[in-house]
Amino acid sequence: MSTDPAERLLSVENLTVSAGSDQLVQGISFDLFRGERVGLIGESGSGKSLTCLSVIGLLDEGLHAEGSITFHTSGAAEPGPETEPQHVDLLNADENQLSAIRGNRLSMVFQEPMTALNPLMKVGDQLAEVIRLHHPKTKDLRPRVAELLASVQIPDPQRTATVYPHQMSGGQRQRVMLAMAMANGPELLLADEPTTALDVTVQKRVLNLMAQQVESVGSSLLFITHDLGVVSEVCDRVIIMRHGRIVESGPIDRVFTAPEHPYTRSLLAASDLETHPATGRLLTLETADDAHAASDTPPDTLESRAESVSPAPASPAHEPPQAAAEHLTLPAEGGTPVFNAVHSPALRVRDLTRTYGKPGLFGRGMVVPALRGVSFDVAVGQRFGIVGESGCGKSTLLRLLTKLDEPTSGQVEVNGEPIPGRPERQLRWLREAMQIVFQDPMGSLDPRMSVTDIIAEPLHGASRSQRGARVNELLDQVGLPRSSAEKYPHEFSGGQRQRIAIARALVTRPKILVADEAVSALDVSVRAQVLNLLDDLVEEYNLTLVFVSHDLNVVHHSCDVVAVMSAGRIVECGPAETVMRTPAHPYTAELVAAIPRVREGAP
Amino acid sequence: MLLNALRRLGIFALTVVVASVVVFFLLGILPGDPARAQLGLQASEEDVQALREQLGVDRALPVRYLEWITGFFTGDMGISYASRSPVAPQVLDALQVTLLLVLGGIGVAILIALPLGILAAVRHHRPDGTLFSTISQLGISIPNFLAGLLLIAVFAVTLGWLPSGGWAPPEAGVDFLRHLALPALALGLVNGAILARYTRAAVLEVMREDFMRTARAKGLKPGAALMRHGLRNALVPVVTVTSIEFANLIIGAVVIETVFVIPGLGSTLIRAVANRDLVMIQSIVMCVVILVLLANLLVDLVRPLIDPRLRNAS
Amino acid sequence: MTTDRAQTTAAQSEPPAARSSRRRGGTPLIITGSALVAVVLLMAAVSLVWTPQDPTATDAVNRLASPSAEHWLGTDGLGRDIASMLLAGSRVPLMVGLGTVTVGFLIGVPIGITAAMTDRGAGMWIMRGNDILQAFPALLLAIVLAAVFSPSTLTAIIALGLGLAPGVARVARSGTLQVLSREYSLAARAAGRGPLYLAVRHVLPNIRGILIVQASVGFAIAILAEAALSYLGLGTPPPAASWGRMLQDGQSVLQIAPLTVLWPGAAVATAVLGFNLLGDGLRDRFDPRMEVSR
Repeated sequence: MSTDPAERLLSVENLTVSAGSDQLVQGISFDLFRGERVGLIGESGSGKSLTCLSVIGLLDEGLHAEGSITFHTSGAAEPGPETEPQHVDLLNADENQLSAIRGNRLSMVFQEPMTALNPLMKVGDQLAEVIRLHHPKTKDLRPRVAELLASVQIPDPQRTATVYPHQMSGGQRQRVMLAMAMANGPELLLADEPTTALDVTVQKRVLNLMAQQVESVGSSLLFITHDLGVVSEVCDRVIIMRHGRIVESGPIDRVFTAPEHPYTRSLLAASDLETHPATGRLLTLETADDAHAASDTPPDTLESRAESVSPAPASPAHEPPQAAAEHLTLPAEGGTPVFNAVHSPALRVRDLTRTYGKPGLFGRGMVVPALRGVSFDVAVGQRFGIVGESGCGKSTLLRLLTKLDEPTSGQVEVNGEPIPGRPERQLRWLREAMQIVFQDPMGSLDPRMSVTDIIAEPLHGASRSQRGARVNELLDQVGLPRSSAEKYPHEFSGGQRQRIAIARALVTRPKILVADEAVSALDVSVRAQVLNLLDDLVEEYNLTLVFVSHDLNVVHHSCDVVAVMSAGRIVECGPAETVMRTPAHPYTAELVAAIPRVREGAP
Repeated sequence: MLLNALRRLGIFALTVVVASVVVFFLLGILPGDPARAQLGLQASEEDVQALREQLGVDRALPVRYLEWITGFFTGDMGISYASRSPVAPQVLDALQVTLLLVLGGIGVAILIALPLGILAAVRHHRPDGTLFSTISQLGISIPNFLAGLLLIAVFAVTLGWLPSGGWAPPEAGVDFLRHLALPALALGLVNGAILARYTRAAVLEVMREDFMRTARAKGLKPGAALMRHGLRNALVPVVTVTSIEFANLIIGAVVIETVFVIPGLGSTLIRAVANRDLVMIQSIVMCVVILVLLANLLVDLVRPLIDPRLRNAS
Repeated sequence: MTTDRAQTTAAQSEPPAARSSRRRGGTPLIITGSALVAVVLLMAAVSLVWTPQDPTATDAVNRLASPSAEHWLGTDGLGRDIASMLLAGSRVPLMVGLGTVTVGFLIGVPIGITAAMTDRGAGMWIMRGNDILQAFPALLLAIVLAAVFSPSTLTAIIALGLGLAPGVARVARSGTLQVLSREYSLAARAAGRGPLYLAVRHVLPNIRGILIVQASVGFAIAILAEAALSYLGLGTPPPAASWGRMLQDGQSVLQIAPLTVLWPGAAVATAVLGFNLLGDGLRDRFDPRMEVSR
């Protein structure tokens, strides 16, 4: 990459973003050159999104940016014919200058496609608006709008232009956002986690489109993400941020193969779910450097303290308790087979279906089949993974397994006992034998309960001292200080909350643990720690694990057997390694192919 | 869309029926024997029985209910206990007056609420925004009849510009407007303050939405983004609240009519209460309840026009 | 759909400190509101043991007197001492407010929570019934009950409480639905905890905030309605002093003595403003959206 200043497009110098006295971005500087595609990477709280919003000048109220951001536009800051190159100071430009640049020379795609479009305005009108705004003289915009929609592969563009956003899927909406951002051929496209809310297969399509559009328009790209895999699909240079500072930057090939900063190394290791060669445990912020035999800078997060306290029995991550499971796929026709059939399973599911909704009083009801006949077994002590994208029925299945919902038909047996239809008072044993760890570490803990009350909730009729003793024991086991017992959830970080949730799930010493996207909401570095903890505890408690996730990588790491779900059915099931390496069902193959790879050859 | 409207109409009809049963229970059964009440404890049983037959209250309850409700909808609301004359013409005349007053009040309320609410939201972190909020906060805290009294004190008593009370029919033209002005203003000021607060909240909420940031990222200036994308979205909750406000306005009119001595449903109701004229009360209460339900229906029908998400997929 | 959106929350998990600082919102409003409410409470308390004059004593000689050492705020059309009536008149609105909120909550909260916690069909019918009740505005109910029985503080409280209940039920229901949609409610169910435990340990503590706000607003509404009822002569009957009836009495002498209207009017406005401000401040503090995940 040339460093000729003439080719610079964006210069960020000593940028500071503060909220009151808190400095969230602490004096960062970087350049972005014309035609370059730069990934700005960081975990939550790194300041990456704030940096991006500072560039386009749309920081939330109460946030204040200082320093300088210069945009070296080739002109056309005012609508009309191309003019002289200009150097606009984005932080000090007035509203007239900024609004002439935004959506025209500099545009942005946001994270959340579901809310980023005006729900009351037709999609085509929203697209037309951005063109008319900067090219007021354009007459009939309909052909151009259709062309733009077609360019992002929206089917039947003429018709689609007349629908409202709620009639489109998330992926389609994000493509409309992309078309909108590219409509005026911007010099710089900002993309803030544009695919984070999308399923992997959809993500792949949107990323490809984005790369292609940026290429054909000749724009530069500043791509903000937490996902190292995604970044390697679209960028050629990366900037790694942490705690409001840049820790490393450089060409992606160099940074990803020979990272210089220990944080980058650990981030890479955690993203890849790399394991320690000796212990088989996932590499975390602190162990990554041991593994790479090079380190300084002690890690300073609360997470890390918790990690060092937790017991670390060195055991190989996977040791299938019995003969490898049979590898089966859903036949194109005929009935669904029983997947992973075993004798005397911990969990037996047969022909399970669940439909939602019923015909309404005035014929308005809609019937949605969420689960369309699922049969499988989970052997005692097995780690069984269930993978699928949104709407595949995995959450419904989980609710049926745990008797949080009743099936429309079919059978669920836990340790040989049928579950559906039985009244709650006959299920006390189930509530002790089976526990759940939920996805959202914010929502799964009642903000008005103390940690003791939360963890001890499943303990019925235990005395105060019994509860206290057991809670202390569990806090030790999940690596939290005992002083946590009297605190409230808001005093903990995401990873710590998930530890509390795990402690609650283990308080009854269950036989079966169901994990619902248990690490999906966590930063990658924290994710590795929590997965390690889960591994340890599954071992210690001799648990049968049912692990539900959208992330094939994580399931591959944590499970012996994996079932892939699509449209309310299991389409493929078999040993995790086999399914991952040699997927037999076309859907699984697509899923595997869509996983963004950080580095060639990574799992 | 049409199906949805029909469904709403069905629910409306059903609700009216149930509400009418409640009204019948409240005023037809709960008060006890109207004949005995009218004639007093000293009257002989024969006389009372005769009056019962005359009033038609000697028959079974379902019969009385059906007779009342069919009569109500066919314009025969019964004979007033107090004046011994048919209730319907009085109620209908009063209804017309009240509707005009309420419409005037709504007009004033909207004229006040929208600008005040939007300004208070847009400038919420500046002194003038806070001032607007404070004005609306004070507005809500004043009973509407007090507002009426103060308006009379200023514009009728002190300045002598407008009449302090009474009513003129719409045919009277300017005189009608002169009589409408103060009561509509009194009604609209207070309810406008409430509506303004909802408007402010709705606009503030919308300004935090992601699509408003998208609008800015497109190159729209803050004002233009609010005009083109924000206001229509803010309108959805405001319209919903308007139906509740409509109920408040009608009930507010009851009091305002008394303040300004206007021959509407409210003053008629208060007079009927003073006379314990239950037939009259029953009809008026039913009218008010139907008006409130109609307002809800109207809003339910209008909302899908503003918000495509509320339309049927078909 | 939503449960599968695992990834979206990742970027939003903010450090805990940022959230607790937001809780301090609304303090000036709460202080102002509490101060105004305290003034009214103090008036009521003082009037229990002492008023400058007998608030019911008429004085034909001293009608519409100007403020003096004897009559601090002058006298009304019957020669009664306005200051004393103001003090004594604060008791009825407060009583009606307290009674209304109590009745409204005793009916509304259980209905709302039950509607949210029972299965969808039954809950829907409960709310339909609630909608029908909502078609009877509180003041209308009060007027009707005053006609059926006779005007009294108790009828006013019952009618206004019944009128308040549907709104309370609505708020309680939507709050409960939010709590039930949280994973901690699922966790409690998975822990074998029944509906009663859920309602007491999870739902009530989490909707407490919005209910307190609702109570404050309900107080304000009740005071306004009581004033209107008394003004119409359908509230607490004489001789008990009441701001609303002072306004009614004042209307006839509005031309010559506007102060007879202004004083009780200001009293009503102060009380209502106090409770409204308090409600607003508390709303800012508790945040009606019950910020949990954001």
